[in-house]
Formats: sequence, structure tokens, C-alpha cells
Amino acid sequence: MWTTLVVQPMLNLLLWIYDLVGNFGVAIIVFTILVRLALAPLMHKQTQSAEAMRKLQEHPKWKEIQRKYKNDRERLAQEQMKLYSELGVNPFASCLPMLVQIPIIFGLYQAVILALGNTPAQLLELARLLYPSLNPARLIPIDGQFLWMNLAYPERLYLPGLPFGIPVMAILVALTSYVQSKAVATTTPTAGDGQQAQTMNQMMTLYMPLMLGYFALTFQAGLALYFLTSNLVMIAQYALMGKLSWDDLKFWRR
Amino acid sequence: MMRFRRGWIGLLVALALAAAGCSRIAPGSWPGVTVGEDTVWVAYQQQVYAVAKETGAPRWAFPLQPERDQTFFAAPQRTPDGQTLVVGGYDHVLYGLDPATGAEQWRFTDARDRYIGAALVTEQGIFAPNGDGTLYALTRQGTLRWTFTAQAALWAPPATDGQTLYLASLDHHLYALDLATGQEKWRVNLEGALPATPTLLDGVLYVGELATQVAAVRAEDGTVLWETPVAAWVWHSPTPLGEEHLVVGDMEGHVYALRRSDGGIVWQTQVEGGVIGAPAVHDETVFVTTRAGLLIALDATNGAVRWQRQVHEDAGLEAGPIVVPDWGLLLAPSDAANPLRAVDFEGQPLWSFEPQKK
Repeated sequence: MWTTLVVQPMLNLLLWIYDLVGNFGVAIIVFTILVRLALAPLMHKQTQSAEAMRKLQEHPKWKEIQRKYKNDRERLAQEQMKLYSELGVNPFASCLPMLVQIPIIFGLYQAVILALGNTPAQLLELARLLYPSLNPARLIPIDGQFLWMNLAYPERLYLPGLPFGIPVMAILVALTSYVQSKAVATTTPTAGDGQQAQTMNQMMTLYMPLMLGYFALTFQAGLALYFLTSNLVMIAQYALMGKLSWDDLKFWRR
Repeated sequence: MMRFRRGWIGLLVALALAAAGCSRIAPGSWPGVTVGEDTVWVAYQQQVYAVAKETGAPRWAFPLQPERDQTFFAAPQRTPDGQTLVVGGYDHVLYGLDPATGAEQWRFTDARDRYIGAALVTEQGIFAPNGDGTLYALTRQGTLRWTFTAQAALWAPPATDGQTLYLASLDHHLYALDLATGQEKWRVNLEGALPATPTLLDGVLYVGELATQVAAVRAEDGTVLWETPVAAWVWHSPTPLGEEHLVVGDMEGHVYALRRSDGGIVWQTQVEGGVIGAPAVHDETVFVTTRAGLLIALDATNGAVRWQRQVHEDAGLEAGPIVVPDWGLLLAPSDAANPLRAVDFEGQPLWSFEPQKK
């Protein structure tokens, strides 16, 4: 069911775009932009929810709960959930774009491997999953070359004189993930969160880019290209919404 | 709220671990089999095995301790003097082994991708097609002589008439190369990827295509003589059927007998499961294996099904059957626990090879 509902449509959409544009790297970029546009309404909800959460934390009732139950974590959590409900705030709405992306990431990973099938078994599997509307005779084999990368393999840039390859995509993915998590205003911790929550938020801001950078280092370059494009588009989306805070990147000012 | 955030971190860590575990999808193909006088060599997944032809008893396995990224699917090929067994791996290495013991004699490491198909081994040397699109021509001691590079991967060894190599590529081209120097003599663009060796008969090359057709090309100059459309992808080399016909199967289980002179369909049959490996012919019978794990015997004159046997319940028979004229057929299920079986010409089991667990 996973293959039929997620991987197969994704694979065929990727190949349809590839048939149009003639380059698999460009097809991944176009695909990513389409995904981000489709997720834009969810993103809008996320920013609205985050804004509501921020205002809630300045509400007198919130501060009273924090003060009254600061030594009783369980009761504090219960009262907080009650207050969310009373005021119509959904604390989980900010998770939705992230959760929706998880099956997309997994599905895209499998779709890229299938599309660039470089073993007979993978090509057989690809044949099984193609929609009749595509012309496989013209498409196969898919050319996985994009700039200096072969999208079917982990990316490295080999320069003359250097005995090792530079993981350019991994570095770019980690950097843009960091920029995205720091500069997007919705993730800035507020006064009401407390020191511990602030520390956790800072850990997330650091660990998430490192984790995505690790994925980009070890997985197929096609997936790294998706991560990079997704980060850049998201930064642009937040900038258009006026939610970008470049000051938060200036760590030397603290 | 903090528990929720901890949950987030936990989810992300789990995602990372799960993804790391999935980061390498196992490469896949089906067993490659070669038959000698008294030994059968089979390459499948992490080892190459030598097996006694009459009994299926194991003789040796290479390597003794497989490394994680070391896998073999290309059929091993023996040099004409019988001194070396040549086998390429998914680790980009071409190995020369002692056929009697499996000891490594040499290795060639210049290739940049996997060896998907077998090498062609002749008196003139070794011609090893690689997934990097290059045909590597080596001496029988594994020293590089020349290379030829196509525009996409090479998944099958070339055919040869002793002076010219005929090389099929996934880039849709069939190439003719001078065997001694690798110089291109001609190329022809057929309409689909070519995953298998062309069959050379009386100066004509017969090719199965992923463009759902079979083509005949004149070996002298690359002129396309005919193209016959079929229902689905053809993965294998067409099999000669008598003096005038060929037999091919496609991915949807259609089996065709074609006239060599003009590609006309003489008969056509549908079997259960896709046909990937080349059919085999023996004594007026066409033997076909399918992805449904079936061995099927067809009447060579009209394609009627004589019998069929379920050889394997859980694994396909992507590799085609191999005739052992004295007693029967060798079958290679895509099953690491049982990659080689022998049956008689009625499909009754004779022996089964099960590699020792590592």
C-alpha cells in the first residue's frame, strides 16, 4: 500500500517532470518546489499557530499557571492543555508540515533509487511501477548526472590535488538547515518558556542541521538535492511572509 | 510542553536511526551460472560458489569471509586454457580466480562502477562490460589493453566472430568494435535500452530491447534488417530455435517464435509470470523460466504447453534455464539459501545446492 499510495505516484511524477525538462536534477528541483507549494497552506497554519502560542505565553492566565504549578509538572501540563482548549489554540498545528514531510522524504528516497535503477532488479521494479502514460523506451535509462553529481550516489566534489572528495551538498544542507531554524521567527524561544525549554530549543537548532547534513552525506545525492532545495524554498517562503529574522543569525552580537 | 519537545527530539533521533538502517538498499539481481565439464560455478549475492555438476556438492566459495559491500551476480567465465575463472563484482573489482580452488590470482580495480554482466573470455583476452559504460579489454592475466566507453551502462558481454566485438548498451546503441584495438567500426541506434548480448547467427545480430521489440541487424555494417514489436520488454538474448527460427520471452510472459529471415511471428504463447532469462532449447522442447518461480516446457513446433512445474514458491526464476545435454537442466532461483537446482527433462528434481550459512 505504501508503494501504491506514496512511492508510485511520486516516482511517476518525477519521471513525468524529467520527460518534460530532460534533466533529473532539475526534475527533483521542480518536484520539490511543487511539494513546498502544496505545503504552503499548512505552513501558513503553522505560523498562525506559532503566533497564537507566542501570544498565549504572554496571557495572564498562562503566567499564573506557570507560577502556581511550577513544582508539579504533571498538573502544569494538564492546566496548559486546558488553557489551549479554552482559548482555541492547537499546540500540535506547528508539527503538521514536519510530519507531512516525513513520508515525502522516505517516498522520495525510494523513488530516486528506483528511477535511477542501476541494477537489473531495480530496473525490473521500475518497470512494474511505471504508469502506462509514460514512454519507458524513451526515458530509460535515466541520466543521473547533474552538475558534478551522479544523483544515484552520495555526492562528493573531487578537486585536483585533493586526495578526498568534498561533501559540498552535505555542507550546504547543514548550513541552510541551520539558517532556516535560526532565522525563522516562529522558532525563537520566548520569555515564558523557561531556561530548560530554551536549552532544548537550542539543541534542536543545532542537532537538526547536523542530522540533515549527515543524511546528505550518506544518502543519494538526489535526496540531498531535495533537502537543499526544500530549505531554500522554505527560507524564501518565510521571507515573503515577513517571518525571517536575520538578526537571530548574528551570534557574535550576543 | 517540554515532554512534547522531548518527544520531537526522540522522533527525530528515531527517524535518523531508521533512515541510517535503510541507507543502503541491497543491490539486486539474479544468480549468474556457468557450466564446466564437471563443475558448475554460480555467483549470487556475497559469494561465488563452485559446485559438483553431477551431485550439487559444494567445492569452494569465494571469498571465504565476505565483506559488506562485496556482492556477485555476473556469471563467472573460464579462460579457454581452463586456468582462470573471471568474475566481476558489485565492488567494482574484476577477479581472476583459480577454477579448482577459488584462490585469487589477480584483480583489476580500474572500473568505476559495478560489473552487472559477465565478461567475454576468449583466446584473445577478457572483455569486461561495466556499469560505468566502459568495456575493459584485458589480457588473460588481468592487465589492461584498451577501453571503449559508451554513453550509458553496459550490462552484458559482447558477442564476437573472432575479429569484431558486438556490444549492446543501455544507451540504445549497438556497437561494432575491432577486437584487437577497440576502434569503433559502426554503431546503430535502436529504439530502446539493450540489456543483453546480441545473438550472432550467420552474419546477423538478433537483439532483444526494452523498447518492446526484437531487432535484426546486419553484422557487417549495422543495417537494421527488421524490427518486430512484442508486448513487453525483452531482457535476454534471443535463443536459436532450429535453423530458421528464434525464441524470445517478454516481461509479461509472452513467448514468441520468430522467423530469422523477416521477424515474422511463427507462434506465440502466454505463460504465467514474466520471462527474464533466455529460454533454452533441447530435443524439440523450449524450456522457459518465469518470475512466478515456474519451469515450463513448450512444444517447439507450436508453443503448446507440455507441462509446468512450480520450482520455487517464494522466489522467482529470473535466470534462464541451462541445458546439460546428458541429464537435464540447471535452474537458478533468486534465493540465497538455494541458488542452484538441477532437474531432469521432465522437471523432476535431481539435486539442490544450499550454501553453508556464514
